Amino acid sequence: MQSFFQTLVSGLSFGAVYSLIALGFSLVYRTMGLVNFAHGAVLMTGAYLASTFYLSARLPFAVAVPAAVLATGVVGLLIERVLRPLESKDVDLMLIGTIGAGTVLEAVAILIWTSSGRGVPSPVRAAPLDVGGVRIPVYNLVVIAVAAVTMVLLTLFLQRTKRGAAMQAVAMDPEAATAVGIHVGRSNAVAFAIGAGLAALAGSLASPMLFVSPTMGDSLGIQGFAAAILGGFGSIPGAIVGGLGIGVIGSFAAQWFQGYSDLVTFVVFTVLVMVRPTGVFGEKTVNRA
Amino acid sequence: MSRHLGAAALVAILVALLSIRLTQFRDFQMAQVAVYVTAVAGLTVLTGLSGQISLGNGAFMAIGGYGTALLLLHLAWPLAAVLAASAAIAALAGALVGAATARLHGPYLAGATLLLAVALPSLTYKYPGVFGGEQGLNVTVSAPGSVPLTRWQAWITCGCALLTLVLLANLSASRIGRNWRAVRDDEVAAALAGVNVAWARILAFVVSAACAGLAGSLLAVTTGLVAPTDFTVTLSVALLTGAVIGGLGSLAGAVWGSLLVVLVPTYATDVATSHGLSSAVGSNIPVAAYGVVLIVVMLVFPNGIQGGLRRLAARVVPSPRRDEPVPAEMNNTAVRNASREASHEEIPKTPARRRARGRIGGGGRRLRLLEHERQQQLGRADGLGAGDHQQRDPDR
Repeated sequence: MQSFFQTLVSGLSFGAVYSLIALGFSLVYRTMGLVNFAHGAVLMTGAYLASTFYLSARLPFAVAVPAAVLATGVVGLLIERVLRPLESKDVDLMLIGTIGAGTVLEAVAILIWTSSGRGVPSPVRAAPLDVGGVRIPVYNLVVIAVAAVTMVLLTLFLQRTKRGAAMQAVAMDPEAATAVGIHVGRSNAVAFAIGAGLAALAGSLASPMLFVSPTMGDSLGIQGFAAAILGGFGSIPGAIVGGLGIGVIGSFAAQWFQGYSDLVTFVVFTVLVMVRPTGVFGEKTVNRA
Repeated sequence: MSRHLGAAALVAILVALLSIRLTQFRDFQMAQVAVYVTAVAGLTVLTGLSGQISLGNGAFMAIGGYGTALLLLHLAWPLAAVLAASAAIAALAGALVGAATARLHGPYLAGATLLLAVALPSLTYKYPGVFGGEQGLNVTVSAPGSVPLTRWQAWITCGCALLTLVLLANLSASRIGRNWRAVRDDEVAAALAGVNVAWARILAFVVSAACAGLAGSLLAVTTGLVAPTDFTVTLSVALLTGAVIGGLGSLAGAVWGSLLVVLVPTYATDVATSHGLSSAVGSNIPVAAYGVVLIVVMLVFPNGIQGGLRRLAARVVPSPRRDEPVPAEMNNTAVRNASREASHEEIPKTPARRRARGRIGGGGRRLRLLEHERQQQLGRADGLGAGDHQQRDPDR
């Protein structure tokens, strides 16, 4: 029972990270109808920036992470600007465009930071909490809390602010949004930048739990993508539930089926998606048609 | 049909002559391109014709590759039988995957197939006794007579690639191909017209998986080794990249796409090393350059390379039917597509419904609006034949 809860705790903390990644995917998807295949590479860029600010510039972690989020947001804006001519065209083109952008980011990251990768020491030095024999690292709680606060803020932004409402409008109907004076391109840019910022947040939060390397974006990106699908692409509660779900499934699969946990995760995922072809919470963009 | 065969025979002779003139390394590259052409052509049929995206065709290649290695190792079958059997095994796997994902669309389908590509290679670690674990399995083939091995491999791979292209070209011009296009453009309408949508979708997966399996088998024969690191997600992404960048739905595009995906990284590496860059820089500048090429090609040729070439060709040699008056209510695309359909050319996909449903596409309404405006402009220009010359579609 103890090991069960131990696995659950680690699954939930990774799940919180996956939720953040899935949120980035979902936000871009619901606004632009696009699966951003550069998301993993953007995440990796964010993690490297945060670790550079934290380790080399010796900024406190709580400053390094927001700085990295902002810087990565700018990277997101840049990518969106380059790819904007493709937005009005077939979405497969945008797909390849983002794959190209991701490739460039990864190569540039290796050029700057070399391919060897780096470990990031945990910024929280307190001893793990002991709850009934289950050891909970304090940093994992911080990660879960930060992820939760971010999701609340994002929801408030989308529902309570003018810019957020405009983005929702674009998501529902780009033409009608244009007709009432919303700049669709700008709205897409904001969505892309926020998505990049979320990826950077996820990457920098995950870096003390994992290892920062040029390939970290691939595996984390795929997990986040799976999480977004599981919850229902474009849905915010879906991203949260999907992320936690993938985290917990992956954690138990790694515990019980060492060596081929990927395969088990895949089978569970496929069965779930076969039962619910548009995710647990359903597609958020169907009302576009 | 005979047209396809004739073209293939011509290309086969050219390839054979070329392979004799080329160095060993170039022969190897030619074989690699042919492997990609085989797989990308299959993916073109799946994504371009039947409208299903797959990021998991690398997994089918793995199945074909391992099938080849095991058949050669344990049963020592003749090569032709091994190639056919590997394609058949992969086709079976494709049927399973196609059936499992028949209800999925857009990002869900992309994700499920992507996870297949992630998960399948881990089977080799689970059963190292059968699949050789991380080291993989050796594949040995011998060339007949005095033909150098690389040239023999180039011949086999190019032969299989051409055969695949001919078969797929015939298939896409047949009833089955029309059914796929119908399903891609509008599932409901296709079902109402009597097409069995689920079967069409699964069959597309089977065909595509068979091609990928054959390609994996050819890859194993060319490199002499199958290992899990040969069949990563990167391979699957490269296949889709080749299909889209060449021009989705066009088999000629599959050839352009494969050439680009295989040759650009090698060429960029050659340039980087010849300029004496250090190894860290020299090995990553080409990767960055490849990414930039992807973006630039998409920006310049939104219909893929094949679409771009076709447009250029149309500009140089204006086709006679362009001069015929276009009825105002018929849109330009429809006319062009109808004539393409008649001449068995591939149609660049214009599935407005598909995109508008917010599948992997979205923003469909914007597209439809654009198309509508274009039609109106064309209608005005053609119907009234007056003024507004600046507003005409630059395409015409």
